[in-house]
Amino acid sequence: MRHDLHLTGHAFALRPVAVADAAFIVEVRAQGGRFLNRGAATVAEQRKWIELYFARPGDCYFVVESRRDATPEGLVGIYDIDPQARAAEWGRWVLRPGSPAAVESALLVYRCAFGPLALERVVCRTLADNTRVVAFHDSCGLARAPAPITITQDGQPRAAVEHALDRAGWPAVEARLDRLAQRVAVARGPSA
Amino acid sequence: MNPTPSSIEPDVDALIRAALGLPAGRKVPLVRADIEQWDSLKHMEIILALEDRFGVMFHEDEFPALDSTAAIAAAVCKHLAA
Repeated sequence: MRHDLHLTGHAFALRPVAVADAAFIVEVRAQGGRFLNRGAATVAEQRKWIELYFARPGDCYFVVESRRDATPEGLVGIYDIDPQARAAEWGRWVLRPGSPAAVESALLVYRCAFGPLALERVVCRTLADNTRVVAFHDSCGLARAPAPITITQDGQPRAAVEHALDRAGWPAVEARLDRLAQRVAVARGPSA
Repeated sequence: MNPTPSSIEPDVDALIRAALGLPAGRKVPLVRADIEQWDSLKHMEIILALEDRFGVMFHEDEFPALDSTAAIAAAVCKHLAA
Protein backbone atom coordinates (compact mmCIF):
# COMPACT_ATOMS: atom_id res chain seq x y z
CA MET A 1 0.00 0.00 0.00
CA ARG A 2 1.58 3.26 -1.06
CA HIS A 3 0.70 5.22 2.03
CA ASP A 4 1.87 8.69 2.92
CA LEU A 5 1.86 8.39 6.68
CA HIS A 6 4.66 10.14 8.53
CA LEU A 7 4.80 10.02 12.30
CA THR A 8 7.21 12.24 14.19
CA GLY A 9 8.23 11.55 17.75
CA HIS A 10 10.71 13.07 20.17
CA ALA A 11 13.85 11.44 18.80
CA PHE A 12 12.63 9.12 16.04
CA ALA A 13 10.15 9.17 13.19
CA LEU A 14 8.31 6.73 10.96
CA ARG A 15 8.25 7.27 7.20
CA PRO A 16 6.93 5.08 4.39
CA VAL A 17 9.24 2.41 3.03
CA ALA A 18 10.50 3.14 -0.50
CA VAL A 19 12.12 0.89 -3.11
CA ALA A 20 15.39 2.66 -2.32
CA ASP A 21 15.25 1.13 1.18
CA ALA A 22 15.72 -2.40 -0.17
CA ALA A 23 19.40 -2.65 0.74
CA PHE A 24 18.77 -1.36 4.26
CA ILE A 25 15.90 -3.81 4.74
CA VAL A 26 18.05 -6.77 3.71
CA GLU A 27 20.88 -5.58 5.96
CA VAL A 28 18.88 -4.88 9.09
CA ARG A 29 16.77 -8.03 8.77
CA ALA A 30 19.94 -10.10 8.39
CA GLN A 31 21.05 -8.68 11.74
CA GLY A 32 17.63 -9.31 13.26
CA GLY A 33 18.26 -12.86 14.36
CA ARG A 34 16.35 -16.09 14.38
CA PHE A 35 12.94 -14.71 15.22
CA LEU A 36 12.28 -13.12 11.83
CA ASN A 37 10.99 -14.84 8.74
CA ARG A 38 13.86 -15.33 6.32
CA GLY A 39 12.41 -12.89 3.77
CA ALA A 40 14.36 -11.58 0.79
CA ALA A 41 17.96 -12.71 0.64
CA THR A 42 19.12 -10.15 -1.91
CA VAL A 43 18.47 -6.51 -2.64
CA ALA A 44 16.86 -7.45 -5.98
CA GLU A 45 14.46 -9.84 -4.21
CA GLN A 46 13.67 -7.17 -1.66
CA ARG A 47 12.89 -4.64 -4.39
CA LYS A 48 10.40 -7.12 -5.89
CA TRP A 49 8.87 -7.68 -2.46
CA ILE A 50 8.43 -3.93 -2.01
CA GLU A 51 6.73 -3.63 -5.42
CA LEU A 52 4.30 -6.40 -4.42
CA TYR A 53 3.77 -4.69 -1.08
CA PHE A 54 2.81 -1.47 -2.89
CA ALA A 55 0.02 -3.38 -4.63
CA ARG A 56 -1.26 -4.98 -1.42
CA PRO A 57 -4.08 -3.22 0.43
CA GLY A 58 -4.16 -2.88 4.19
CA ASP A 59 -0.41 -2.89 4.71
CA CYS A 60 1.71 0.05 5.92
CA TYR A 61 5.43 -0.59 6.14
CA PHE A 62 7.69 2.01 7.75
CA VAL A 63 11.33 2.85 8.17
CA VAL A 64 12.14 3.96 11.71
CA GLU A 65 14.63 6.78 11.42
CA SER A 66 16.51 9.13 13.68
CA ARG A 67 15.22 12.70 13.72
CA ARG A 68 18.75 13.91 14.37
CA ASP A 69 20.22 12.89 11.04
CA ALA A 70 17.61 10.70 9.29
CA THR A 71 19.71 7.59 9.88
CA PRO A 72 17.53 4.50 9.45
CA GLU A 73 17.25 2.65 12.75
CA GLY A 74 14.88 -0.13 11.78
CA LEU A 75 11.58 -1.23 10.33
CA VAL A 76 8.04 -1.78 11.50
CA GLY A 77 4.70 -2.47 9.86
CA ILE A 78 0.97 -2.34 10.44
CA TYR A 79 -0.76 -4.89 8.23
CA ASP A 80 -3.83 -7.05 7.76
CA ILE A 81 -5.84 -3.89 8.27
CA ASP A 82 -9.51 -4.85 8.42
CA PRO A 83 -11.56 -1.75 7.55
CA GLN A 84 -14.81 -3.30 8.80
CA ALA A 85 -13.48 -4.46 12.16
CA ARG A 86 -11.15 -1.45 12.35
CA ALA A 87 -8.41 -3.79 13.52
CA ALA A 88 -4.91 -4.71 12.38
CA GLU A 89 -1.73 -6.46 13.38
CA TRP A 90 1.63 -4.79 13.85
CA GLY A 91 5.01 -6.40 13.50
CA ARG A 92 7.93 -6.87 11.10
CA TRP A 93 9.67 -4.98 13.89
CA VAL A 94 13.42 -5.00 13.71
CA LEU A 95 15.95 -2.41 14.87
CA ARG A 96 19.67 -2.08 14.46
CA PRO A 97 21.46 -3.87 17.33
CA GLY A 98 21.72 -1.49 20.27
CA SER A 99 19.28 1.02 18.80
CA PRO A 100 17.45 3.05 21.47
CA ALA A 101 14.39 3.37 19.20
CA ALA A 102 12.35 0.46 20.60
CA VAL A 103 10.10 2.40 22.95
CA GLU A 104 9.43 5.30 20.60
CA SER A 105 8.91 3.15 17.51
CA ALA A 106 6.24 1.18 19.37
CA LEU A 107 4.70 4.46 20.56
CA LEU A 108 4.57 5.79 17.00
CA VAL A 109 3.02 2.58 15.69
CA TYR A 110 0.20 2.89 18.18
CA ARG A 111 -0.16 6.61 17.44
CA CYS A 112 -0.52 5.73 13.77
CA ALA A 113 -3.01 2.95 14.50
CA PHE A 114 -5.28 4.97 16.78
CA GLY A 115 -4.71 8.28 14.95
CA PRO A 116 -4.53 8.41 11.14
CA LEU A 117 -5.65 4.81 10.63
CA ALA A 118 -8.52 5.26 13.12
CA LEU A 119 -8.30 1.65 14.30
CA GLU A 120 -10.08 0.38 17.37
CA ARG A 121 -7.79 -2.55 18.12
CA VAL A 122 -4.25 -3.63 17.31
CA VAL A 123 -2.68 -7.00 18.00
CA CYS A 124 0.91 -8.20 17.88
CA ARG A 125 1.94 -11.82 17.67
CA THR A 126 5.39 -12.76 18.95
CA LEU A 127 7.15 -16.10 18.84
CA ALA A 128 7.03 -17.51 22.37
CA ASP A 129 10.81 -18.08 22.25
CA ASN A 130 11.34 -14.38 21.67
CA THR A 131 11.06 -13.77 25.38
CA ARG A 132 12.55 -10.26 25.36
CA VAL A 133 9.92 -8.97 22.94
CA VAL A 134 7.12 -10.82 24.73
CA ALA A 135 8.34 -9.10 27.92
CA PHE A 136 8.41 -5.74 26.12
CA HIS A 137 4.73 -6.02 25.20
CA ASP A 138 3.91 -7.11 28.76
CA SER A 139 5.85 -4.12 30.08
CA CYS A 140 3.90 -1.77 27.83
CA GLY A 141 0.78 -2.89 29.68
CA LEU A 142 -0.83 -4.79 26.82
CA ALA A 143 -3.26 -7.59 27.51
CA ARG A 144 -2.02 -11.09 26.69
CA ALA A 145 -4.43 -13.49 25.01
CA PRO A 146 -5.31 -16.17 27.56
CA ALA A 147 -4.16 -19.07 25.40
CA PRO A 148 -1.00 -19.45 23.33
CA ILE A 149 -1.46 -19.29 19.58
CA THR A 150 0.39 -20.75 16.61
CA ILE A 151 1.93 -18.66 13.86
CA THR A 152 3.92 -19.67 10.82
CA GLN A 153 7.60 -18.86 10.51
CA ASP A 154 9.25 -19.82 7.25
CA GLY A 155 6.43 -22.28 6.64
CA GLN A 156 6.70 -23.96 10.02
CA PRO A 157 4.08 -23.71 12.80
CA ARG A 158 5.53 -22.07 15.90
CA ALA A 159 4.14 -21.31 19.35
CA ALA A 160 3.45 -17.61 19.83
CA VAL A 161 1.98 -15.11 22.25
CA GLU A 162 -0.67 -12.59 21.20
CA HIS A 163 -0.96 -9.18 22.83
CA ALA A 164 -3.73 -6.72 22.08
CA LEU A 165 -4.35 -3.05 22.67
CA ASP A 166 -7.71 -1.40 22.11
CA ARG A 167 -8.60 2.27 21.98
CA ALA A 168 -9.81 2.29 25.58
CA GLY A 169 -6.43 1.05 26.81
CA TRP A 170 -4.35 3.30 24.58
CA PRO A 171 -4.13 6.46 26.74
CA ALA A 172 -2.44 4.63 29.62
CA VAL A 173 0.01 2.90 27.30
CA GLU A 174 0.72 6.17 25.50
CA ALA A 175 1.49 7.96 28.76
CA ARG A 176 3.89 5.22 29.81
CA LEU A 177 5.74 5.04 26.49
CA ASP A 178 5.81 8.78 25.91
CA ARG A 179 7.52 9.49 29.24
CA LEU A 180 10.31 7.05 28.36
CA ALA A 181 10.59 8.24 24.77
CA GLN A 182 11.03 11.81 26.00
CA ARG A 183 13.87 10.71 28.24
CA VAL A 184 15.62 8.92 25.36
CA ALA A 185 15.32 12.11 23.31
CA VAL A 186 16.92 14.19 26.06
CA ALA A 187 19.81 11.74 26.33
CA ARG A 188 20.18 11.77 22.57
CA GLY A 189 20.48 15.52 22.18
CA PRO A 190 18.77 17.96 19.80
CA SER A 191 16.87 16.68 16.76
CA ALA A 192 17.05 18.26 13.35
CA MET B 1 33.64 11.66 49.85
CA ASN B 2 32.22 10.00 46.77
CA PRO B 3 30.70 6.54 47.14
CA THR B 4 32.39 3.47 45.74
CA PRO B 5 30.69 0.96 43.43
CA SER B 6 30.60 -1.65 46.15
CA SER B 7 28.96 0.78 48.57
CA ILE B 8 26.04 1.53 46.23
CA GLU B 9 25.58 -1.94 44.74
CA PRO B 10 22.94 -2.91 47.35
CA ASP B 11 20.88 0.16 46.43
CA VAL B 12 21.28 -0.53 42.71
CA ASP B 13 20.36 -4.17 43.22
CA ALA B 14 17.22 -3.24 45.16
CA LEU B 15 16.19 -0.68 42.55
CA ILE B 16 16.55 -3.15 39.66
CA ARG B 17 14.70 -5.86 41.55
CA ALA B 18 11.84 -3.48 42.31
CA ALA B 19 11.62 -2.37 38.67
CA LEU B 20 11.60 -5.94 37.37
CA GLY B 21 9.40 -7.42 40.08
CA LEU B 22 12.13 -9.79 41.23
CA PRO B 23 12.34 -11.15 44.78
CA ALA B 24 14.35 -8.93 47.10
CA GLY B 25 17.47 -9.88 48.94
CA ARG B 26 18.87 -12.79 46.95
CA LYS B 27 22.64 -12.77 46.57
CA VAL B 28 22.66 -13.37 42.83
CA PRO B 29 24.37 -10.78 40.61
CA LEU B 30 21.84 -9.21 38.25
CA VAL B 31 22.87 -9.35 34.61
CA ARG B 32 20.52 -8.16 31.87
CA ALA B 33 21.36 -11.01 29.50
CA ASP B 34 20.14 -13.52 32.08
CA ILE B 35 16.83 -11.83 32.93
CA GLU B 36 14.13 -11.98 30.29
CA GLN B 37 11.95 -9.38 32.04
CA TRP B 38 14.77 -6.84 31.57
CA ASP B 39 13.42 -5.75 28.17
CA SER B 40 14.13 -2.45 26.46
CA LEU B 41 11.18 -0.69 28.10
CA LYS B 42 12.17 -1.88 31.57
CA HIS B 43 15.73 -0.85 30.77
CA MET B 44 14.59 2.75 30.31
CA GLU B 45 12.47 2.62 33.47
CA ILE B 46 15.51 1.39 35.39
CA ILE B 47 17.62 4.22 33.97
CA LEU B 48 15.03 6.82 34.98
CA ALA B 49 14.80 5.32 38.45
CA LEU B 50 18.60 5.37 38.79
CA GLU B 51 18.73 9.00 37.73
CA ASP B 52 16.08 9.93 40.28
CA ARG B 53 17.73 7.93 43.04
CA PHE B 54 21.32 9.08 42.52
CA GLY B 55 20.85 12.51 40.93
CA VAL B 56 22.84 11.63 37.80
CA MET B 57 22.01 11.77 34.10
CA PHE B 58 23.20 9.18 31.63
CA HIS B 59 23.95 9.82 27.98
CA GLU B 60 22.38 7.66 25.30
CA ASP B 61 25.75 6.14 24.45
CA GLU B 62 25.92 4.73 27.98
CA PHE B 63 22.53 2.99 27.91
CA PRO B 64 23.61 -0.36 26.41
CA ALA B 65 26.46 -0.79 28.91
CA LEU B 66 24.16 -0.36 31.92
CA ASP B 67 23.50 -4.06 31.82
CA SER B 68 24.31 -5.39 35.29
CA THR B 69 24.39 -4.31 38.91
CA ALA B 70 28.16 -3.99 38.80
CA ALA B 71 28.25 -2.00 35.56
CA ILE B 72 25.53 0.34 36.75
CA ALA B 73 27.17 0.92 40.13
CA ALA B 74 30.45 1.76 38.39
CA ALA B 75 28.72 4.13 35.96
CA VAL B 76 26.83 5.90 38.74
CA CYS B 77 30.05 6.40 40.72
CA LYS B 78 31.79 7.76 37.63
CA HIS B 79 29.04 10.37 37.23
CA LEU B 80 29.07 11.26 40.92
CA ALA B 81 32.82 11.78 40.79
CA ALA B 82 32.72 13.96 37.66
